[in-house]
Amino acid sequence: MNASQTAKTPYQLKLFPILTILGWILIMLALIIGLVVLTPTAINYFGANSKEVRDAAEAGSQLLSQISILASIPLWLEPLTFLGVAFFICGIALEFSVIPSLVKMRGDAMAKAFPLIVKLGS
Amino acid sequence: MQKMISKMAPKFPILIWMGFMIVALAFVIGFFNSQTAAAYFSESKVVRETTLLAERASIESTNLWLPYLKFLGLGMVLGGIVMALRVILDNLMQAGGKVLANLPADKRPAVPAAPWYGRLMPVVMMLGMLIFIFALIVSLQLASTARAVFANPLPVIDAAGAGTALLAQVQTIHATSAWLVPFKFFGIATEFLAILMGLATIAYVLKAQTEMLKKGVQAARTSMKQPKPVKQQEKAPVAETVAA
Repeated sequence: MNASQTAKTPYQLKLFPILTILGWILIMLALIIGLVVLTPTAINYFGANSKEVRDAAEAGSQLLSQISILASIPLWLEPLTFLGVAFFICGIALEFSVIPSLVKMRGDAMAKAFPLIVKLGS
Repeated sequence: MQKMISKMAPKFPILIWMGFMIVALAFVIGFFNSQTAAAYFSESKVVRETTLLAERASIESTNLWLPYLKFLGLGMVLGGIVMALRVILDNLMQAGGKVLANLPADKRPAVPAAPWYGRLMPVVMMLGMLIFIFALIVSLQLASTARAVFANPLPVIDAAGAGTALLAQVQTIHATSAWLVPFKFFGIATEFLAILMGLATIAYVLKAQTEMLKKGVQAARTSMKQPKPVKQQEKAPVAETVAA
């Protein structure tokens, strides 16, 4: 049995934690933006103004900048969270891809070990 | 706790089945909601905004809580996958133990402890489930707020001024939805993290077992190379063996 065959860590096992952390960062970022940017903006925009006032907002006003934030950020925030989820799924795929080679290596080791175990037991 | 999880893990098909049923139920509810929406929008704008209040309330409130029910179902399916990984892990470790049991106790290599992420995996999975349940509870509260808001004709809702209860309710719906949407993805991320932990543990166990088998083969070869009289001497005290 080749010793280096089992000692070497496959690249997938080195890469998947990076993808997991990236996915985690993106999803946490989306949650933080939701909590820190969108929620206070929605509170200010909807809480203090009637629809009549909101509809009458003119270009350059604070109300228009608020509705602009509320309408535009979710448009890229949702794809960003999906990108985060995609990173997680890629990490899972990488881990799945390494399992067959590990099982094969274990099978080879078992094939070498089994005759010895049988001899030792008899 | 680990023993309790190992006992519960083989029941993972129940979790997956329940999750699937919830997602299927969400589809049926969504279908009926779409029928209500089709009937609602077939009426003129004046009739819709002044007469069909119950329909509007039903559509708006269902749209608020239904996605979280779907995510709870998906979370249960993912939780089931985590439990299935746990079953694979337990079986792998048991099989490894059985193989090593063939070696004499003194020649048997030490079994390495399970990695921290392997022990933490079910906890992370349960945390994900709690996130989904919490999100569903909040969304149900939002749905009841939406029902209260849309029980009023649309012109009344639009006319609600600053400081009114109606505007505060509208504010609650928008403000809560702003963080609740990314929060459900946080739950999905937690479930995926648990799956990643499970797969990483399987990879770790497979690697560790291969290493142990290698050590076992070496130990077996060494003991087989030793001549038989030496085997008899093993029973004698060490001091005598050294002296001989």
